[in-house]
Amino acid sequence: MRRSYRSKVRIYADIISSVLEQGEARVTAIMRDANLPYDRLQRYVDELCAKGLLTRRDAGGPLYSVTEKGSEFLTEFKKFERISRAYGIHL
Amino acid sequence: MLGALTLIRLDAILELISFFICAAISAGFIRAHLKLKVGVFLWLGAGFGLMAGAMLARSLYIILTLTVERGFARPLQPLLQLYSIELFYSIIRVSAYVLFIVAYLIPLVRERVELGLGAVPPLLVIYNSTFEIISAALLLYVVIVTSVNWYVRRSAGSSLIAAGFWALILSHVAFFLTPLSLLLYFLGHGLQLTALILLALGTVEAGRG
Repeated sequence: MRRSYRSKVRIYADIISSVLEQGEARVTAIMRDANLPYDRLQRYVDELCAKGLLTRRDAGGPLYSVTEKGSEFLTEFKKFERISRAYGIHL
Repeated sequence: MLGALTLIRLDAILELISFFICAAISAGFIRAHLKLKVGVFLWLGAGFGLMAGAMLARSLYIILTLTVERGFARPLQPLLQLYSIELFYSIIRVSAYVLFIVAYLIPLVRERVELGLGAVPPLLVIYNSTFEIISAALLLYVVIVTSVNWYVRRSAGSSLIAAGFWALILSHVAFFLTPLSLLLYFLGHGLQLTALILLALGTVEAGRG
């Protein structure tokens, strides 16, 4: 079956959505939800933390949570995704 | 004549309303780009922005021509001016449509590249897809002018020049689509070479008189 392409912004949204659903999430849970291998997820998570969309704390391993900026990003993404879908463009 | 001019003025007012709608859509897409940094939104925003700009320029120009210059000494002059702005408007609108096509093609091209289905990576480093499509959009005006010139003159020189610019614009489109197939890269080069040969032949032919 052909693998469907996800843009970077969609992967960001998938990761934030996964973390938001769990409140605080570990890498393994995000990997499963966002369907990403460890190395790629780590890169994206680092980018999201650098952008201030996620925060990291240590609790026997890294635990991630969504910042207010991250929640706003997800809301904006969902809104613009609906618009782009209406135009026939998939993000 | 005056009835037709009144109708054009009404058309300008309707276009002014269209401008506000178009500008709002453009602003929405630009905002989406600023928020999410997605290039597609920038292209759509630029396309709608270009359309909005053309609409505003056209409607204001028509309103000014028909309202401020009311008592024209020569009634034909405003019609010539209207014809000019109409031509400008059409070219800008076509350019906006080119941007829309780019917006729809970008995800397709990017997907092919990301999935490793595209041409060899070094080619993608050498050729900037965005630059290629901008070149094509800029050449569009020249293609239109040379095609109209050929249609009017019907001379061998003008037909070669027009064909040359058509080949040149198509070469840029082929380069833009290179990530879809490596064949398009060679097609682009073939078209570019053909374009230059046609332009050289056209210049020589025109020089002969």
